[in-house]
Amino acid sequence: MTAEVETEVESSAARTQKLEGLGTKRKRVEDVRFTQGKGNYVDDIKLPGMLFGDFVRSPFGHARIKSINKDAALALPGVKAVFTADDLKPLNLHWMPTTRRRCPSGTG
Amino acid sequence: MNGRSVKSCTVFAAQANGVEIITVEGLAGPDGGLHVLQEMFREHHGLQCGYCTPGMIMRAYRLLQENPNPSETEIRFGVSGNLCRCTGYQNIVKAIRAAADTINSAREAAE
Repeated sequence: MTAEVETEVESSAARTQKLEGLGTKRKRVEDVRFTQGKGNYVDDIKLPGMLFGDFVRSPFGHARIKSINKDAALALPGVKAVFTADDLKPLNLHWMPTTRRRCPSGTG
Repeated sequence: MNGRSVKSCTVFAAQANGVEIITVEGLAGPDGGLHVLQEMFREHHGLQCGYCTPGMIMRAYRLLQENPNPSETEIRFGVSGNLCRCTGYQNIVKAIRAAADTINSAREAAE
């Protein structure tokens, strides 16, 4: 009885292996480069004219932002642009989903 | 670095001046084939995104020199300084254990 069950399980596994379907062990092609240190991550990407971006968040949790003054940041050498929710309004992307359901700029 | 496993983030460039360094790129054989550790990480799904893999493999490489036949606990302790944020450590431990078996079998066969 036990032997019969085992045979059935074996043939099922053999069939799965043959069909290469769900549950089949596969070797991943990308592992060859990943294990040899040839992966390419976001920090490795360098494009012509590429700039660095940084996010400035409110230092106060659950505070309401009344206004954002960009002048000091823009005056720093090397700073190309400062974007706030106001810049995203023309794209209709300014309503960032947050748990507070309130526009980060405090105007939405 | 001079045979020891080190983290590049905790070594000053000046300390690396004039020393011998092997990185994961240097593990493959002259024919470009995968080192047994690299092969076993692939075989046992010891990686997902691959970001921690060079560090894991180089640490395992040194660990197996220090202890050619480590227990699961010794492997876990041995790589505890390396973090993986994808898959967890189960398959990494399996891969290192499998590599140890393969290396030991090959050594015994050669003797």
